[in-house]
Amino acid sequence: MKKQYSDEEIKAILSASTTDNDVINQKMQEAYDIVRERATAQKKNEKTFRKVWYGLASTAAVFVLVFAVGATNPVWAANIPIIGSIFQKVQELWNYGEVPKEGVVSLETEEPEYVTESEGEVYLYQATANGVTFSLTEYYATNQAVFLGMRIESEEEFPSFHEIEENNLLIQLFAGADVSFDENRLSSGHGYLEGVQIDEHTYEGVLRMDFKDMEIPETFEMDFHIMDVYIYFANPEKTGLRHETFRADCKIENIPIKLSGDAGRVIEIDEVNGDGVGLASIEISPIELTINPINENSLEELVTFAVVLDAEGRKLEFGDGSGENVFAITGRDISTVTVYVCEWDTYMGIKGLALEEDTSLFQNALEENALYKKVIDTTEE
Amino acid sequence: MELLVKKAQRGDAEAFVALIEANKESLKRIAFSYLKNEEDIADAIQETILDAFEHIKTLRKAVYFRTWLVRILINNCTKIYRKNKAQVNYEYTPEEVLSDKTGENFAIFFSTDLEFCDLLTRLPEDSRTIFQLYFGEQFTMSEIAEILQINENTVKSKIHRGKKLLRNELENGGAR
Repeated sequence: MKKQYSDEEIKAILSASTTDNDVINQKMQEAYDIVRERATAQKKNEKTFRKVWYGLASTAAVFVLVFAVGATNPVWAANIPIIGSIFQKVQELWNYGEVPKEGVVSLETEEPEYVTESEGEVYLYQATANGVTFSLTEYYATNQAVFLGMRIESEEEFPSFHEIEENNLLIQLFAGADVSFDENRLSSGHGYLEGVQIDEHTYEGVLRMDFKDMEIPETFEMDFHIMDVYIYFANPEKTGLRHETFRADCKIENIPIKLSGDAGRVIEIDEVNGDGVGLASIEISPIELTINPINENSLEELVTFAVVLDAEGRKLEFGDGSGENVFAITGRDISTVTVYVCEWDTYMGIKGLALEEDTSLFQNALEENALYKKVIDTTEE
Repeated sequence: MELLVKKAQRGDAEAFVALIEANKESLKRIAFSYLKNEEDIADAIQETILDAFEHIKTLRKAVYFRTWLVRILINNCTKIYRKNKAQVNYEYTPEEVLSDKTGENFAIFFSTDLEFCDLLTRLPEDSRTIFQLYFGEQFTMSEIAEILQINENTVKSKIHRGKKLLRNELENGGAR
């Protein structure tokens, strides 16, 4: 037995090839078979499935805003139509599809409108910190979330832009919000900013700010706090992830928000079964459906996962950046929805059936395994 | 690899399978650093494959595929680890170096010789995965911090302490 290992020897040992293992090989083969089946099913559903983004834990004390920036076809700042265009830019990128135009409100419609100065545009709702300017341009508000159009400009080029392969960049912001209808800072929720790169200094995107579990009034004011900017880029030395962090501590105050005309509605259920599992309510807006499940045993480590099937028995997918329990409904028949709440591990065991062409397989598995089920006719007033 | 990732993101199952096969050894080694038996390792890898395929469209940059895949694997290993009621303890004691893994048992299915397994069993439980990621899979400390969601200084510290402990163990005890 050697008495010492050099770093190189440790590397050699820990990167050695492993021997074949039948159990592992078999499980991998099973997974490959499922992947192939799912790929076939996905192709059939290609028209209705857009890019799906999954959220982070919904208990985060800050909003986590992420957007990917593609600069394959950069549009330079001088050529950009600034106002009202961000939702159009992202509609092809996200699961929600087209946001109802009549519901989009420009934040530049009131006096004073933005003015053009020699150094660039000045927005009504704007803040600058450490050379980075955040400008809010438009929003779309429902009873579940506010989708906020935002422009970010940096005096200096965003770092290491040129090192990024394919000119793609991932930016993460940490931010929070105060709302006038709740004295406490909005302490939960998050959203992804889906966006496009304008140039080395500029990004635009839409942030989904989650108001789940809150009763949003028709009009309110919001203060938007931005704390940190994380810019992720390729490690030039090897494949991997690096990021730089910028403190961008600033606040955009008194943003007037008014819910869109068709802001959505809430269907109260308020039902709990003998296992302490149930459903408080569902919330429906033109683009998403939120469920508010109940798990009275969460402190006793019963972890649950909720699934919603549309009227055709197809599983609804999460909305972009929305986290669990919020589903995109664009193109789906939600006249009737069925909510199932399962024990987490049980759901993980059956979730693969969701992409089977025969939707009854998944539904049957849910029927057999769910801790709670509720069929809801959403057309009833 | 990036072309394969893009194909996989467009739903090409064979491209995805090729990507997993290219990373199969890493997946096995990393899962081994975490889990105790081949069934658990097989389950973690299977779940990782399925999760990765389900979520691959959320991967913004193809270049991050490997880091992203390992992150999913670690999450699945953690779930299984917790499920087995094994306790993750980030403050280790020298006694914990002597784990219930035996090099001989794992060498049967993992390595052609005992060295790999013996080396891992000599490491503190919480340092095994870090060692594997750093030395075995050549991730940077920064990447490991990202993957494991821990502070980069913690990674540095655990590598340093692990090496020291390993050196002491070998000097004092030799083979178990």
